[in-house]
Amino acid sequence: MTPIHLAILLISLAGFAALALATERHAEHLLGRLPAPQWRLLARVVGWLLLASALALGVVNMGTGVGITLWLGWLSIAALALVFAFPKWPWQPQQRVAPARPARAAKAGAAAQALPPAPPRTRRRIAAALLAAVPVVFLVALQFTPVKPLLRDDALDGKAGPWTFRIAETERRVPDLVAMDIPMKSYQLRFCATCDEQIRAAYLKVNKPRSLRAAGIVLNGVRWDRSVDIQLPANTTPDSILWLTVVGKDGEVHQAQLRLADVSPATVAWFQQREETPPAGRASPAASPTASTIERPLK
Amino acid sequence: MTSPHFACRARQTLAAAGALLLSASAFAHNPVVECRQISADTIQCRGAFSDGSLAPGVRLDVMSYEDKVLVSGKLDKSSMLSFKKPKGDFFVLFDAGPGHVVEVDHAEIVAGAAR
Repeated sequence: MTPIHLAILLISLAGFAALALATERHAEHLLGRLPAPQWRLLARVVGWLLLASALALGVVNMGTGVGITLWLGWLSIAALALVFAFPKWPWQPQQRVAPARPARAAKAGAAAQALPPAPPRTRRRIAAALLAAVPVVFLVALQFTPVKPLLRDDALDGKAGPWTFRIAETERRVPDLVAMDIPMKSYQLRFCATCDEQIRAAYLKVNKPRSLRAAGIVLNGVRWDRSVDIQLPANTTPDSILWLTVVGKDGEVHQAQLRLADVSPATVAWFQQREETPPAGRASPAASPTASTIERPLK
Repeated sequence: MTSPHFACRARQTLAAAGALLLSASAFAHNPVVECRQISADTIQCRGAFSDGSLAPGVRLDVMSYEDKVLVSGKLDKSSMLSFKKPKGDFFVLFDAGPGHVVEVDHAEIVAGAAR
């Protein structure tokens, strides 16, 4: 990978150097004389092509996101290197290094006239407005960025054996209906930093697991924020319990229970509403006196 | 240099957003199962994945509350498995691999054909 980084840097350096040769000021500074306009045009084209090929090199070898980011990083370094290298350029014209002070003062008016014309006022205003818009857009975007679930007020703290954790539903809303209209809910969970090292896997499900095999769905991730999508039973009630089963690296198993109504109030309300107003055509629970409750002790 | 930089940033943001969407859809691939009582003594279960894809060949076990395997089978081509309703309390395990086991308790089973 190092040759790619080096290549991006060197091509960017060459690209910027070519772009410098395309400008009157730097071309004279670097060459000691002003090249013909067609040569400067050629340098401009070559410069941009070199920068584009450095970008292409990054994107092809490292993917779009990483490639563009690294290209921008190497561009900055190349540009900075040239900024510091140019004043030390050994072949720059002498008269530009130490211009005669009195002469400069005398020709102040003439020098001002020789400067390139300033960009039109409208263009400058647009540029200033765009510059000012950057922090505004950033602040607006920041305002609309949702708080991470585990940092929200509704996140709950718990303990499974020696391990403390924090859990929250990913979205504070009713469950998502997936295939076969099965309600699914997504949760995020984080163990304490030292706990993470001792945990092999964690599983989540509604209702008490009957065995380790049926402990639920394994939480995604091995440390820090873990996440999981679980199917909610058709007979979820406000009393349903969310069971977290944690298996340590030493094989020890610990469990924690949380009331689903505390973690996902909107979901429980949705189930209650569904129970009260069954839609037309929806199958009713099988004829059994205990159909609506789970026959198992919840400790 | 301003406009190319903005263009690149925009592309970068788009790429990041695309990656997020991709990871979200990849994540939403969890086993789901639904069981229904289709006749007086027959239960039909249908296992699938949350993205709607079927799961033919995936194991489905019917267990007693004493953790005994009453029925063990694999989902057919249409991702379904029918079995005779056991006498006592039971639950169904849809086993799509370690850590991807979904349970359906007999109390959850409603009447009607599986969807």
